[in-house]
Amino acid sequence: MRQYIIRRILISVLVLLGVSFLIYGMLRIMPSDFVDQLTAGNPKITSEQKEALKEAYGLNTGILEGYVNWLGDALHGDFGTSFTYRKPVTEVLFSSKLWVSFTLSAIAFVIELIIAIPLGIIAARKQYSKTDYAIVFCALAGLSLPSFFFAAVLRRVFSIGLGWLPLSGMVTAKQNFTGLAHIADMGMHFILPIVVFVILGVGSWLRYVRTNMLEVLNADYVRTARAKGLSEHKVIYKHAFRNTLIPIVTFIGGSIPGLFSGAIITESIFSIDGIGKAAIDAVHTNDIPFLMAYMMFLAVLTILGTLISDVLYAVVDPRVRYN
Amino acid sequence: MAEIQSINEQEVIEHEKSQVVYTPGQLVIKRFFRNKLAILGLGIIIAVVLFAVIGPMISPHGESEIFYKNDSTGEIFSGTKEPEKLKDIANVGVYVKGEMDSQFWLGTDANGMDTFTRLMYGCRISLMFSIVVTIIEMLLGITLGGIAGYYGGKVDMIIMRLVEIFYCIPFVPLMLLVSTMMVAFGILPEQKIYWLMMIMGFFNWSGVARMVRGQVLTIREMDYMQAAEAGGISVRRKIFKHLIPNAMPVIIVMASMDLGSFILTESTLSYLGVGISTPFASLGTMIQAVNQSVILKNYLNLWIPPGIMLLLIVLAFNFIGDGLRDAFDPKMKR
Repeated sequence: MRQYIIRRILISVLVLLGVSFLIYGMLRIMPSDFVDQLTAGNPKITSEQKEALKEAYGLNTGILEGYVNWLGDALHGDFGTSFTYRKPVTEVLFSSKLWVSFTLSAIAFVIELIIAIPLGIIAARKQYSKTDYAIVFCALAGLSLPSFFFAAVLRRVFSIGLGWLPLSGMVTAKQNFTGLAHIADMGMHFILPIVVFVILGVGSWLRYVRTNMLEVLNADYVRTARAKGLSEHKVIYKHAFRNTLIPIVTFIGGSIPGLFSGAIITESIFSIDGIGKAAIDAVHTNDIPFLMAYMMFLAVLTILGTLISDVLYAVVDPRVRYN
Repeated sequence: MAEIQSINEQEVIEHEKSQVVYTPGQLVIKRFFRNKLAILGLGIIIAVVLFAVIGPMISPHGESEIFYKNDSTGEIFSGTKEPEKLKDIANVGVYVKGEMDSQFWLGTDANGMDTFTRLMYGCRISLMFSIVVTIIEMLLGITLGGIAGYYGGKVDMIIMRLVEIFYCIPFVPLMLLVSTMMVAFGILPEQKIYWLMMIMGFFNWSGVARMVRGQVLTIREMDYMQAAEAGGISVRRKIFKHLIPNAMPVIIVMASMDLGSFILTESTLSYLGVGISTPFASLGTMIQAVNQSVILKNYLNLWIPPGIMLLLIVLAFNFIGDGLRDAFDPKMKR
């Protein structure tokens, strides 16, 4: 077990090296004086910053040497200075923005699970029934929804049309709420983004639960359980569902790092001050150091996700280890 | 006695004649058409393709044809077809956010172009874009995944690490970076679309490769594959006669799903302003109009139709993919 985990971690490090080289390489295939070009129209950037940037990316050296230098700095947590925020990139990344993004996605994640698991089980139990078709249809529809369009519809209906919910932002302007009122105000602003997250994300969970449940329901031990006369309730929840939990738990574990990644589109539409919005702002200001660090951060999250789910799989299901 | 025998034989022959024998392919088609959602999806796609291909031929307006209105006479005219009317500068203005009428079925947008015509072109661009990207992705993914699965060993190890690397690169942030790079390179908006296709295909092959590799590994263990090997056929025949045809179902299902998801990604990028841009119409850029709060509030005709269209296309591809998967192998995992 320990050996397996160590091997997985070593491979992950290797993959991360590859990713970082690719990301760095992309920067280097730009025209040689790209720093000047990018910063030409940006009055915020001083010539010192330009020099620092060129040095940070080793633009005056060969590509391999530059990469090694950049990597050395990156390992020390130095990803350069953000143009927009005038602070080290890592400081911008690991600020309150990260927690805003995480809070939003975490709440949505819990709601998704609460909806998807029971509905997935129902759909699997009644395969090919009208309920099943309806659930599968809704799951697919949610998966196919373009987030920006759905967000626009929600804003048009609930903010402009009915006036129930705020249009965008995180707090009501000019109303300096404190304490509970502040939290309630933020909650009102978070409702629509969370609805977008849930509707778009619940579909994949639904399908996942349904498929795994179907597979288990066809297993021999479920037939045995039925044959020995257990109640349907016991068969489903004691025998079938517990076995479905194996893939579900690993999937949940693997998704947790992703909660930190921020949502570029939803956050920017609702002007929520998370890291997704920071990324799109970085595009408008050509804030390359931030974008690079953000991409590396997301890559690390993805790797962490697969690592966690693989390890969890081996922990939860002893059968996996032997083959 | 002989008579009875001949009657029996006759019956046997008739019985055999009445038996309908389906090839596996026919079985797949039969199962596919039994799935109502899949038929619905197919219907939607056919309708959209007709709309996108034939529509522009019938439509009297052009993709980026700008309409003007003469305020004194109230006359609406095209800037490209009747340029002489533009001379009345004092009274002529761009016909923006025009109302829906018989000439402009969905009104005109904020640039004075016909929304309905742009919708046709938008669908066309989106469909073509995603088909090209899917082809690039499939070519790369099938080749690399096939090699990894077939040869195994070190080659497999290297390709699979590559797959993991590409899998980890977040796509939308990558495109954000790429778009700032394209600005630095000075790539023209008209050429940007081709670059986008290539980059998108290049960064999305990892899923296909992983899938194809897994499939090839399973097929290699099959009895018929060992029989083929024992028969001593050439590598080329083994790959093209046995491996690829048997991996095809998975590939087709994946391709149909990806067709939908690439349309979604493309429109997302266009919405963010890093995808297809003028002069091309794209569903994403059309929906982008909602960023102006006036349009979001009062001009539903400008952004609801492209949104619905986008949803329908993606949904249809998902239905087809789901239907195909069930049709190819009812037991195949979702």
